[in-house]
Formats: sequence, structure tokens, C-alpha cells
Amino acid sequence: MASRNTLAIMLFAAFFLSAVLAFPVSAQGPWYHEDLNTISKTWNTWYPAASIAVMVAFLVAAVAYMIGYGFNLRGLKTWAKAEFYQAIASALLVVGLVLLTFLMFEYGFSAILPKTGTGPTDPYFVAYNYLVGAEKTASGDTRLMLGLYIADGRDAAGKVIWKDAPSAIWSWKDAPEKIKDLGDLVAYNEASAKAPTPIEDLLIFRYQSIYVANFALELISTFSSYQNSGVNIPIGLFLKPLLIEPMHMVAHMIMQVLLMTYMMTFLLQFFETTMFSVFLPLGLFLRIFPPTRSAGALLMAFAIGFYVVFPITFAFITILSDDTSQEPFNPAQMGVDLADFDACSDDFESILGETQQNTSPEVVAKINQFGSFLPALWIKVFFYPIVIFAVTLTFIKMLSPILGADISELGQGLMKMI
Amino acid sequence: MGIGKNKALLLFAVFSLVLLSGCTYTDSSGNEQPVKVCASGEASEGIQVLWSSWQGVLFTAVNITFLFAAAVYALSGVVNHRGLRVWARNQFYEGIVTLFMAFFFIGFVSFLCGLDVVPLLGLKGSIGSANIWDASEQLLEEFTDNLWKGFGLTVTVYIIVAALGTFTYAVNTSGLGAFISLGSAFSQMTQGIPMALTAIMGGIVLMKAQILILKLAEKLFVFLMPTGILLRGFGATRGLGGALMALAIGFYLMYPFAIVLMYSTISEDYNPEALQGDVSEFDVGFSSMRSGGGWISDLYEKIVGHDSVFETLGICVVGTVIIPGMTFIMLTSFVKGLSRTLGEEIDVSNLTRMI
Repeated sequence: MASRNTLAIMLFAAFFLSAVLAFPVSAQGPWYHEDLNTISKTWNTWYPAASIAVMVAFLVAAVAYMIGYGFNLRGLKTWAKAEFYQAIASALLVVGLVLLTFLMFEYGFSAILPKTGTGPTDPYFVAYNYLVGAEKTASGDTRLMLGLYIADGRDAAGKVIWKDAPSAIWSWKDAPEKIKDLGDLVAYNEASAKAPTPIEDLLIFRYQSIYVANFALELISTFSSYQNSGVNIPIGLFLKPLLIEPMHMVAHMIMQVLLMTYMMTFLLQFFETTMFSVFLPLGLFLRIFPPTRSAGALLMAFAIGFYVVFPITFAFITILSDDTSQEPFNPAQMGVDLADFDACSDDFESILGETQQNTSPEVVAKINQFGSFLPALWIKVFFYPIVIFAVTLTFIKMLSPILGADISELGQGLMKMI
Repeated sequence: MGIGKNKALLLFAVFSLVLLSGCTYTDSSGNEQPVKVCASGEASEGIQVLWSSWQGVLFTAVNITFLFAAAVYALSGVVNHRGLRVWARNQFYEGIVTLFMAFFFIGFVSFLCGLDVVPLLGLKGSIGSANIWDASEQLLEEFTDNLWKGFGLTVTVYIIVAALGTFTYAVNTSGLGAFISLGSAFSQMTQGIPMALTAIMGGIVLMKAQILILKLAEKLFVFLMPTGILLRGFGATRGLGGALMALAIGFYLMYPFAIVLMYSTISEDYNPEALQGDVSEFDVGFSSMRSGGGWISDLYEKIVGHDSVFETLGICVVGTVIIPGMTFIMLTSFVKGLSRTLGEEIDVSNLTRMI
């Protein structure tokens, strides 16, 4: 009898607190208040269906118990009892979802995240700013070029400020006279924002620099003289293997890293937009029924893992990683001094000799400077996400059994995918 | 070391049932038509005709099960064997469950065919109404169309840049001269674009594969579901029957359901508040390019600058690789759980080893 009373009190308390904490919460609070309002709004749509589903779960358990009792099927009776407890757990989750989410943010994650003027740091904001600049948030609709960065991106009321002030935002095309090279860009960022330059801007700037440096070289490399006898002397050809192709290779790698950067950005947007508004309610709904419990619990674990753990891990790695934009970079110092070559050689032998002579370790080292910034970026864009995914999937693997999913085999498959 | 006798028997049974199920039916006009699941928002004539012939087989099978269970129960009373009694009861109970499933099969299918998922899932776009299969197919087609648009734009840009790259200037007197390829400076851009084209084409292939799986799921459902229900009626084949039913329901119900949920988040037709950076931004292309002297820089921006083809590729990768991956994880988990409830759990560990 005591356990039944306790259960009734728990259900009532959860329902009461859920009603008391019926959102909207204050929009002027920390970043997650907006998300809590979204969850509350979404759950309002799902709540009646989920409540009915819980009632159906209780009914099915009761009918199964009656059949088990009637036919004296011990296994069915045990199953019905287990289902009854699962239905109670589902009822608690359905009634208290918004409350549990609120507690998770308010007393859980806000405690572990570094504080700013408006509350705990927004890990999504940090992650977006790291990759492409803060304008890429799923709720934002304007660009923030060249890493222009104001405070933490929100005003005292927690509102995204640049969303409403596009005129204050520079663009690359509009500001060439203001920012001429990466040094200016870094200095500008340091003066205005104290934030690292987004990887996207770094990559585009590097690509442009290489392109500018390569432009004239490519023209020269195609210069050929010919005679009617059929002899064609490509005088500028020696530039191709020495300068042009290495730069092309670096440009190609930049494109790959850029693609990965954009993929990570949209992945973040996808997680931010869908995890708590689609996956969590759907997962909770599916968790109510025995055949779909495993899938539902997995979806819930996905929702919490990808919405919370993924961006927080991302933010921590961002904070810990170095800023590659600080590395000295000057296109004028790149590569080989063309004065080392005598472009007026009149035979192949002398051209070849000069090329070999000038392909000394020092020259090769100079050429390698083209791509010296790439390893750091490569690690940031290809290796760090693997670490972040490993942490998130480990969390999901641990959380899923607690919520009712059996993903031991699926979990192994997920890890293998990484 | 061949397969066991029982497994061979089961395989033979499934194969025979599949052959019996048929992929076509003869309509009221005497024409042979392919069997579809839904038509005009309800269970199609084809599946009703198919199911009417299956029902007879199914009821006979369940009656045999009841008869057998009754005989065993009677025998258990004679020999006073408790184990036999419990087994017979279980068979009887499972027979009732199978009958229950058979009774509600067409009703269940009709309900799903007529179910408008647009208001149900809170979608607010311009799509109107659609059942789960129509909605999922439309979403996949829409995403694929956007990829084609992106492919068209990228190819056009590629053609322009590659053509500019061949521009050559020559100066000569008779028999002696020099030339220079003025357009060679475009080669860096030209070399980057094939990567984008490969990514887009790969994305299109993956999207087409998903559409094909969706269509295949309908074909599979037509014979996997009745076969599953029938096999579930017998004790020896209950596990296999449950697994077949789980596969049929998983692919025909859970898979499109997951697609609608996932892709509606990146579709403006289904959700006006869709993710920023929709694939439809591909078609911004030429309309945003300036006329006059700035076109070369615009071309450059379109390839590698902000709001470029490569930026839009980011969401393509998410839409064609990440979302399908998550969908299949959901599907596997669902099928595994459902098959455990309906009969026998599908051994996913062997499947995950394949990954």
C-alpha cells in the first residue's frame, strides 16, 4: 500500500510541477530558455497523443494480465507486470518531460559550462563561431563576415543582435580596403572581438591568397616559343612542378577542408533544429509501446546526446585548440624567388640544370610553406570531429540501456562506423 | 556443412509462399495489374484481392494450429505432462494473436493509407495533405531535384571556367613566334569543381537509392506481411514469421515515417521554418550574379567564396549521408524490437559485422 501511495504522490508531484513550470520561460534568460520554450511548444502538440498512448499501454498491460490469469500463462503475467512498470515510467516521462528538460539545463549543464554576462556559454554559438562565424546559427539569417564578433553575439536581453542589424555587417566584397591580409583580419578580430577567426574565413582567405599568387605564375608557365620546323619550347614550363602544382594541391586540400567545415556546420544546425523538437518527443512517444520501446529509447538517447553532449564537446575542444590564424602568413614570402631562375635559357639542358640546382632543400622547404598551415586545420576539421563523435556515441551507448534500448550490437556498429 | 534440415524446410516454405503470393492481380476489367498497397487514400483493390485469397490459407493454418494444440492438450491430460500442457496453451494463445492480426490487417492498411501525416506531425508547409508514403517520396524527390539543380549550376560554372581556361594568345612572324595561354590562370578553380560534381553525383545516387528502397518496401510489404502472418501461425515457424512481419512493417511504415520526420526539417515545402541553407540555395546561382565588370569575381565567389557551391554541398552531405545513416539506425532498432515482440529477435550482430 505504501508503495502505491508513493507512486501516486510522485505522479501528482510531477504533474503539478510540470503545470507550475508550464513555459514560456523568460526570453531574457540564458540561451537555453528559447530552446526550452520550443520544447514546451512542441510537446504541447505531442502531449495529448502521448497521454492517450500511456493509457493504452496501461490497458494493454491490464488485458494481457487478465488473459495470462485466465489461461494461467505465467510468462504473460510476468510480461504484463513488467509492462505495467514500464507504463508507469512512460507516464512519469510524459508528464514531466518539460520539467526534466528544464532541470537538466538549469541545474545540470549550466553548472558545467563557463559563464558569460548573460549566463552559461552557448555551446552552439561557440561551435558556429569556430567553424563559420556566429551568423550561421539555425535561428540567424544574416552573415557575419570575416569573423566580426560582438560580445557573445547576444545583447543583454539574450537576443541575437546581428540578426536585426545587417547594415552593421561587413562583407568581403565591401571591405577590401579595410582588410587586406590575414594579419589585418586577425588584428581586427583581436581588437573587436577577442575571438579566433572562423575556419571558413581562414580557408577562403588562404585559397584567395594562393590564387592571387598563382595567377601570374600560371600565365608565365604557358609562355612558349615555336618554329615552323615543329619545335615548341615551353619556356615557362619549369614553374609548374616547382610552384604551380604544389599550390594547386594545397588549394585542392583547402577545398576538402572547406567542404568538411560546411558539413559540420549543417550537422550542428540539424542537431540544433531537430533533436529536441523532433527526436525527443517522438522517442518518448515510441518508448511507450513495447515493440517500439527500443527505437524510442534510442531516439531519446540520440536527442540528448546530439543536442547536448555533441555541441558541448565541440565547444570544449574549440576552447582548448590553438588559433591557426595567428600563424604568420604572407603570400609575398611564399615559394621560390623567380630571380633564382634564368628564364632566358636557350636549351633544355641548361633549363634542366638550373631547375635541379634550384630544387635544393631550401627551395623545397620554401615550397612546403604553402601548405604549412594545413596540418593544424586538417586536425581541427577531420580529427576533432571524430573525437567529438566518439564521445557523443559513447554517451548514447551508455544512456540507451538506461532509457530502455538494447543497442549493444548497434553500438558496436556505430563505433565501427567511426 | 550445409544448412540444417529445418532451415532448408523453412526456406522452402518461404520461397513457396512468395511464389504463391504473386506480384499482380486481375482487376474487375480482366486486366492484370501490379499489386499496390494504397490507392486513393485507402487499401488498394490489388491488396484486397490478394488478401482475400491469403485469408483462406491463413484461417486454415490457424485452425490446424488450434486442432493440433487441442490434441496435444488432450494428450497432456492423458499422460499428465505439465510441459505439454503449457506448450499447448501457448500455441492456442499465439493462434488467437495471429487471428487478431489477420482480422485487422486490411483495416490497419486502410487506416495508414488514409492517414494525413501533415497535420499529425505538425508540418506547416504548402504541401497540403499526404499519407506517410506519398509524403516521404515527395520529400526525397524534392531533395533530389535540388541536387540536380545544383549539379546543373555547377556544371555550367565548370563549362564557363574551363572554356575561359583555353583562351590562348599568339604572336608570330612567319615561321617563328610565341604564345601564351591567357586563361590558364583559371585552372585552380577548374581543378576544384570536379570534387563538387563528384559529391553532388554521389548524393544523387544515394537519394535515388533511398527512393528505390521506398518503392521496394511496397513490393516487399505485399508478400512479406501476409507470409509473416501465416508463418507466425505455426509454432515451428513463429520466429521467422515475426521477423518477416517486423521487416515488412519496419520498411513500409517506420522507414517512410523516419524520412518524413528527418527531411521535413530541411524542406521548405514541408516546413517554412526549415534549416537555414536549404539545398534550394543552389538555384540562387546566376540570378545573384552581377552584370558588368564584376562577373569574374562573382564566378569565383560562386565556386569558392561565401554562399558558394561548396557551402551548399555541406547540407547535401548531411542530407545524403548523415540523415540516411540515422534513419537506418532507427529502422534497425525498430525492426529488432518489433521482431522480438512478434516472434524471434533478428540477429543484428551479424548485420553490424557487415558494416
